[in-house]
Amino acid sequence: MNGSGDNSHPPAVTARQIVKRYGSLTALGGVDLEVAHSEVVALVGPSGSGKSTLLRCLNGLETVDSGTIEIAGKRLDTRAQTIHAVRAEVGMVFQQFNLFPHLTALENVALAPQVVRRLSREVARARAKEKLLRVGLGDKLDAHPAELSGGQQQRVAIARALAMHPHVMLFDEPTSALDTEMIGEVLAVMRDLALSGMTMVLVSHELNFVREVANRVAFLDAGSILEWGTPREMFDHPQHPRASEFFQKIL
Amino acid sequence: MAWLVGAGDGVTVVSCRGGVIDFLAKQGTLALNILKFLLPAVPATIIITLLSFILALILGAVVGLLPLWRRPVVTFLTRAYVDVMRGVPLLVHIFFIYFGLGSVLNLDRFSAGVLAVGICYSAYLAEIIRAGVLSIAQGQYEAAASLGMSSLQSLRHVVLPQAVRTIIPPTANEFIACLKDSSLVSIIGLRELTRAGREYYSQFFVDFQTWFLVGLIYLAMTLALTRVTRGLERRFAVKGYGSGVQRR
Repeated sequence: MNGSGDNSHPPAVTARQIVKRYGSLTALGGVDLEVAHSEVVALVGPSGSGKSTLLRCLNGLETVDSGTIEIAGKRLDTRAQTIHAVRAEVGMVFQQFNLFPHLTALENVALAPQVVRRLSREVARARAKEKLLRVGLGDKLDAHPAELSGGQQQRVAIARALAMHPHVMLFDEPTSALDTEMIGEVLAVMRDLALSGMTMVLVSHELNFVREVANRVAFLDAGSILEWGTPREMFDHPQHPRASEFFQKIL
Repeated sequence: MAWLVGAGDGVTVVSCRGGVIDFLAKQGTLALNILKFLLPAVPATIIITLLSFILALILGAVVGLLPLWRRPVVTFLTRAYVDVMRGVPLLVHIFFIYFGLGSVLNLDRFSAGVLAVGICYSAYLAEIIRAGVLSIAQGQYEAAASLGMSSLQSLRHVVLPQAVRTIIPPTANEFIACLKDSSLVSIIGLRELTRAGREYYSQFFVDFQTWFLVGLIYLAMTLALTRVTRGLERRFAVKGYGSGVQRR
């Protein structure tokens, strides 16, 4: 769990000078981000600061206007044929879960290993079952998403991403669409993941959780990372005036 | 009782003296005769309908799904295809393909009829399929993409299985309409149910009973189709998800 990473591996995520524009609006204005293996990085900042956009660039859901992104040393280029292979190494958990409603929990998790990794049906289902057990849903294998609570759906979504054995997991406000009583169960799963050494980049407003699991925090505002720090440094002694203003408001 | 007999034609004059039983017996024999003449033409109607609808489904799927590729030229061409094919009456399609194209390409009545109905219906089906795919939320595409699926993989495993639910009911509608519209090919002399009705009428001049029975046979076929499509909707229903049909 070190922030610098060792030299034998390329970093899990390297993003250099990422620029993303929507028309005349600059969503990201040259952002650099490096995430070492087993590191947990949290992106915080006011809404519209570019946190989610940055996260979505990291698996190519958004095409960057300039800059480069590498996942474990492999170039991620949304215009290249290799995009699918690189994306398969990046797990993504969405605010709205985005489970496949026509499939059971088990089928949701087994689909991509079968289709993308070309595992046999049996192996894919065994792996899916293992991941669902890990997120505490061993008794919901055959349930359809509509039969599950929000918290359960989000845990299926986490299992679905894990089943691809990704290099890094991206969480885009994973608890923002959940009722308060279900936030805990999802955070518990994420905490286990972080402790098991999973590389994670998360956008979250759960600052207590960020304080607990994140190795480093980036504060974004208006499409730039204004400050880097450990959760303690950042939350208790923010350096940048915009950051201190933000944390004063929400802490 | 004479007024019960069809529109004053000369063939089936029934005297009141014969009574109701005599009347019914004569009507029954007549109906049997007409049915004997009509029923052999039913397979032709079914085959024409099936072949044109299969053609319409294939063409419709291609034209309806191509816009997903997001190539402006392709999208424009598919829109143009739909607009043109949908904007011309089926009867004109039939005349154009049989008399126009047919004389150049040497098409027989059957191919021309199937082609005309198939092309006309492909435009409607393309729109239905396109609408079904559009009904799938963006998040589904993103989830599939984030798992490393290619566009074709996500179409095959994520988008289409959900889209069929919205596609089935209007497609069933079109199938029923297609079965009925297949009667239009009788105009180029293709011998199917409606053509058989016209032939019977022109031989025996029985209009009321003939067209009543032709209508009844079409109705029997469309009602049977309705049952099949209900079954399909049930087959594709998912517990607690969308559609009003419950999975048992």
